[in-house]
Amino acid sequence: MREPPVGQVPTADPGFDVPADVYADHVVLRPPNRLKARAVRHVDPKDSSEVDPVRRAEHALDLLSHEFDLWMNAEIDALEAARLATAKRRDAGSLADLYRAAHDLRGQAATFGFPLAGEIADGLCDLMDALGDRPPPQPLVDHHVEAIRAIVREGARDRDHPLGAALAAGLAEMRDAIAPRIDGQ
Amino acid sequence: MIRVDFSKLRILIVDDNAHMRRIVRTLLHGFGAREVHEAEDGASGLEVFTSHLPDILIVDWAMPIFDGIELVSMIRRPDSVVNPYVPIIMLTGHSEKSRVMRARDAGVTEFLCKPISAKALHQRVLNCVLNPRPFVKTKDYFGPDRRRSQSASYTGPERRTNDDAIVVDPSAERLRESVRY
Repeated sequence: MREPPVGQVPTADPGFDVPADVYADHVVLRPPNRLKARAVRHVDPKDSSEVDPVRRAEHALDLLSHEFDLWMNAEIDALEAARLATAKRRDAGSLADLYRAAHDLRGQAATFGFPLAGEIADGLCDLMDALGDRPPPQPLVDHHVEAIRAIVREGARDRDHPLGAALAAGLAEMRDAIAPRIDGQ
Repeated sequence: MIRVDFSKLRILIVDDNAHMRRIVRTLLHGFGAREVHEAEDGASGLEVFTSHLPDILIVDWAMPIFDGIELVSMIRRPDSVVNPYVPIIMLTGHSEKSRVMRARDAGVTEFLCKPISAKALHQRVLNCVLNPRPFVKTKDYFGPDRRRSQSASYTGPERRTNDDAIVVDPSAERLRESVRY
């Protein structure tokens, strides 16, 4: 397999040559580790000029974090738009959009500094997963979206923020309350 | 002490969320990567994969057109002319065990749950570069060995009915014979 230098546009090459151990019902292939050969370098642990790459990346993320409030609001706006769409027509497309918006928030809210908002979005996704093709009760969807917006509006960044924690716990109770109905179909 | 020089790696991020792509790109640049490509859905991800031959893919699960699992399945074709062994890191908000198993069975190399952290992403890339697993091909699977370690106390499903080194490939048999004499 040809591997062009980083920075050049490569071309595909069908010439694979991979050692294989062939067994009765499976083959074990051992592709050569070219990444290791190319990218590993030895450094002197005493070299003070070597900066920990993880710390460098965390610093880079810190520099980016001034954008996060804006991004968080944009994600909530997307969730709000999806919520309004499901209120008008509860079809598969609008439910998929609602799920995707909630799913984005559950993955990103903690990075943006709002872990409780992420937990609430996570709860909404879990509820929709449990319901399958059936739409979730619209009032419960509304409560989740409003709670996420309230958490951001109030600046509830800590997991133990009184308002945020109360909202998250209350919504978890609401979801638990309809769980038997989901299980019983 | 060894370090992975990220400037030697070509990385492709496939995620439909622009904010997440920006976060991952920022972390990768922080690690030292210079060549980072992006795609916003599975279809364009496959296109960039075939045109730029990245060394490592970081793929979201939930995407329009075709999702991350479908993208992995398209790449993990043993007869593919493009690198079917490329390391793939699945970066997703799904953390349920069933999802992890499904990603593993599609041929994902590493699984990383959101919210993302610099340390976790760095560790996954290091695993891909320093500790790649061999690939296994069966009638219904092609991907990294799903057994991460060779344990005598393995309790998972037994998918390999015969682990003895019975070589059925004639060319390999000839190779053994040639070594013997």
